[in-house]
Amino acid sequence: MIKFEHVGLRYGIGPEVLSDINLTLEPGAFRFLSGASGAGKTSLMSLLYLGRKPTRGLMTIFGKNVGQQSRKQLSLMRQNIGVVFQDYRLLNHMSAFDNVALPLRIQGQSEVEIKKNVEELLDWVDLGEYKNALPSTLSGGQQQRISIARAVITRPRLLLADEPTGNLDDNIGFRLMTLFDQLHKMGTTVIIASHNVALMDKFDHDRLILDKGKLSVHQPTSWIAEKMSGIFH
Amino acid sequence: MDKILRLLGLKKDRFLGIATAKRRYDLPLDRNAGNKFVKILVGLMTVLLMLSLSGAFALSGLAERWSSGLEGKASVEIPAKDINGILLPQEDIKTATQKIALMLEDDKTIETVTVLSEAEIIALISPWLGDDIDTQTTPFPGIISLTFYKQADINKAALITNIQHIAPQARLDTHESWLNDVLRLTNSLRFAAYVIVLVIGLTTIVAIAGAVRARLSAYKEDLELLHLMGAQDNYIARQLQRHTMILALQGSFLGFVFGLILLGIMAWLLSSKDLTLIPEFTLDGGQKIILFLIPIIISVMAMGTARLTVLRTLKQLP
Repeated sequence: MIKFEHVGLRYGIGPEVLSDINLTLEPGAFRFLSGASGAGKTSLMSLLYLGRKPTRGLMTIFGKNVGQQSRKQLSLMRQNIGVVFQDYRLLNHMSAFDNVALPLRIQGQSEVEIKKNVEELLDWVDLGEYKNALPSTLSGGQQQRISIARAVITRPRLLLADEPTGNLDDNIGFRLMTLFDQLHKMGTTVIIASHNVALMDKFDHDRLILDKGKLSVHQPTSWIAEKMSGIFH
Repeated sequence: MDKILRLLGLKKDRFLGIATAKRRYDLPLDRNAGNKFVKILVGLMTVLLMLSLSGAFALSGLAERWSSGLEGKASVEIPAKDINGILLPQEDIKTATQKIALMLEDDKTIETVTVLSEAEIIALISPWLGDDIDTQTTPFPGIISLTFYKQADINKAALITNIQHIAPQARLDTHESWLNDVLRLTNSLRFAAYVIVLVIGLTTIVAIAGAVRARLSAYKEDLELLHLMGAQDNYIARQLQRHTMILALQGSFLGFVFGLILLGIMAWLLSSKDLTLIPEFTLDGGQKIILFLIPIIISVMAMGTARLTVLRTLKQLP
């Protein structure tokens, strides 16, 4: 479903920020993405949510070669990708309800369906009573939950989240991770970029580790073993 | 009624900046300072378009009336002095005038021949010599007005020879020389008026494209977000083109009303009975329809410009 073959990315004439990325993810896979700051996590995420085109290599998403898709086809592919941005990227002139409803409206769903689904999801993320509030009047954690609700409202085939639990307390953070896990069990491919090792340890999923633009895959146990060996050395 | 008031800008559009099922605005387009600029710009351009187009139409009418009024017409003047500058007796001039008139009546290319009476000649020259002309002492020329048959094959040289055979000092004036000059001037002015119309149209397009680009730049992040959510270029363009169209309709309507008032004042000023050379300022049915269509044309132009600008800008996104 998602396949990267020797994918590289550079900005302008600068050095490659991602080099020779090879990755295959089957539908319904769940991966954590880790790496030091500046390792290229955001760049890899931007390739995955089709915000950039690779400068080299072959990128296949939903079984389609991204480089060969028309603008319209790329738009339709993006409609199947949910993204939780680290800085939330909410539309400040819109209410919480309208922000969450936006992807559904872009897809052209009926207002009746939109109202039902959005209100249900807002209740689920404990923001039912704030549906008419503007993002600027909400706390960072509340904005983050709206951002997550907006990303999952369409039940995307691919869900990408950049530090989705950064501003949330452990309880709600765990609840949202459970939501992601449920979506993954329903067939959604989930990739979560996170530094929160404690949170990652609670879920038994492979980890993609980015180091200086190179990607490697680790089993949860091997990751812990590596960490442990690092500590003992 | 609400819709009409909103369209005319007399009532705030409650849908702007709010996403609803029927009228989608995902960008806060109503909160942009550029809205007033677009309205004022389109309003002023509408006034200028109306004035320049009306000018072009009026000049067309003027040229047509001058040329059709004098086309196929000529006059024969029998001066009061002979070719040596010696004053002739008034009786000789009358006799020569009558002879020439009789000769012209036999010409098959000429439809009507009218010898101007003394009173008519006095009316013609009174603007230069005053009303109290002494008919006994002032030498009067003889003047004959001619109308040729339409599409007649006129032999001007033969006609002059025949006339001067009767009175060598007589002249045939077909008004060609000065009419051609006047028509050339009028056509140049008309061309200039159409060029001005074109320049105004292009200026409007460039200014609206600039305003839309500024707006896109102000909402760059929001636009990118919509794009990443899978909004197609058309989806985004539709919102901006509709918003621009509404602003343009509001501006052009106000400009149209102002333009009509100005044209009314001009028509009133030109309707004076004292003006003889310049015809009355009137527009025919087709020209009136074009003027009434200006607000719609300019609004559609603004909408198209907005659409193309948005699509070109979005093309820069991956």
